[in-house]
Amino acid sequence: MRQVVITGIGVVTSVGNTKDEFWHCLVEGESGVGNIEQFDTEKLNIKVGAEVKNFHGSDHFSKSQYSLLDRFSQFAVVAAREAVSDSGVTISDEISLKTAVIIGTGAGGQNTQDDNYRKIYSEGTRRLHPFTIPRLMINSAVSHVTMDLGIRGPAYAIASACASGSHAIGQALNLIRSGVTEIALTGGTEACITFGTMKGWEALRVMAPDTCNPFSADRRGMVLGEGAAMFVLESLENAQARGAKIYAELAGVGMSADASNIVEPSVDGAARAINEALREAGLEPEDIDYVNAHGTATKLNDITETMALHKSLGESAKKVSVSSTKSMHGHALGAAGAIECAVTALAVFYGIVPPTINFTEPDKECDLDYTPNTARKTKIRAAISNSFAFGGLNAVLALRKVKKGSKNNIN
Amino acid sequence: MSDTQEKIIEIIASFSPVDREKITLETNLTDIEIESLEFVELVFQLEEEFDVSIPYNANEVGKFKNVEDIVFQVSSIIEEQNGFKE
Repeated sequence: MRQVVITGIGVVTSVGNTKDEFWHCLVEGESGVGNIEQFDTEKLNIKVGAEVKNFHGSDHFSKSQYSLLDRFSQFAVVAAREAVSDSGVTISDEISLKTAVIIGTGAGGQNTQDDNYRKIYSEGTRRLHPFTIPRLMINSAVSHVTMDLGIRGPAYAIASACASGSHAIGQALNLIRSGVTEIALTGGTEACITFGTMKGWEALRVMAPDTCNPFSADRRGMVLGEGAAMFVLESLENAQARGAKIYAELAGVGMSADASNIVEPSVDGAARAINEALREAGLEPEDIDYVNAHGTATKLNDITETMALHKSLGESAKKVSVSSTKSMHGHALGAAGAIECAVTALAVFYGIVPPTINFTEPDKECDLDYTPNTARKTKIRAAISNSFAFGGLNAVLALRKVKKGSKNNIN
Repeated sequence: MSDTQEKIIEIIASFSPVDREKITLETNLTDIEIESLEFVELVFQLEEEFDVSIPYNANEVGKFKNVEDIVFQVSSIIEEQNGFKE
């Protein structure tokens, strides 16, 4: 089976609209959480979010392109351009046919849906903009990435709520492994901070009113985020042949379904996904030096995830560095797995574990090393990124450091 | 017991497989098999019925343990937000 590596990364997030800015903020422990600015929050009980800042679609697109793009598609295209440029890959006519675009998103064009349905139901408008449907459809981001970059291979969207990004990346991995495509542009995107979506999340009673502090005893729930992360994946031989910079090997994906509860996570389902990612990657628990946790900061997730890490990693769980970077970039739902895969790849590449910020007091039921508040420089041989979605759909990615110029892999 | 309190207990009972007659103010929610997700729906139902906003975060445990906690807190919220509704 072919080894697959990450050679390009692009991001648009609440902590930076480029990969470098994003990484700098995470290492410094800067938060992207603040009062929601995109619309009036007077009628919201929860008024905070991790919004993408200083992002104006019109700066990135022509007028005709822009009118077709919901915010979630704009994020995906901008991140995809950065990933391709970062990788240095040239998408020739021939290569374009052997390149896939697989993007995870939980909700699709929420801004378009919210704005237009408000006009119909509340403002009594008689007609909607003709691009309403092309903007809101869940595959819109994928389609625009293919058109923007001229990619003509297999392309589709994947939805599994908060695990969408990780499932998409896992699917792209398997397309290259199996030889269906040579290259894949993959990741996740979401622009879910709208009035309607916020009201929906409020109703679930799981949102923090102020900030996101995963694994801390005083945590009060999740903070919604938004953004996109996109990757260029290719085979190790391909990357080495063109002398590409390699962030990490994408060594495995583990997937499972809890088959238990629509919102409550399960230790068993999460642990099975972690075990499967390790098995596929040929890694042992003691090889893992970093876990990018799902870490939503709900009471239940953080305890369940801690138990799942104990169950899957055994004694090694006590030594591994864990962090939830959602404390900084918020929970970007369908983009979360992709944004956190970017964190994990950069952590492996630079040998730095970004922190869990806002950590004030340990919870007796969360007894791992969560890298509180300050980044840690350390050698990371291999790492995993956890995504455990509403609906009990889990995806865990395993990444491994690639030694420079090595024919094989492990460092 | 006031009509409002009676109505609150009736709504609580509608989320439980246990008969209304067996539910008292001292009854714990766990004893009448109301799980966390059902409880979120129960709070919504109470808000809809009395047209009030009940501050509740599922991550903060211990606020509503038994029927009396709900009846007492929801009654005072109704009084506070709607005045004399009865």
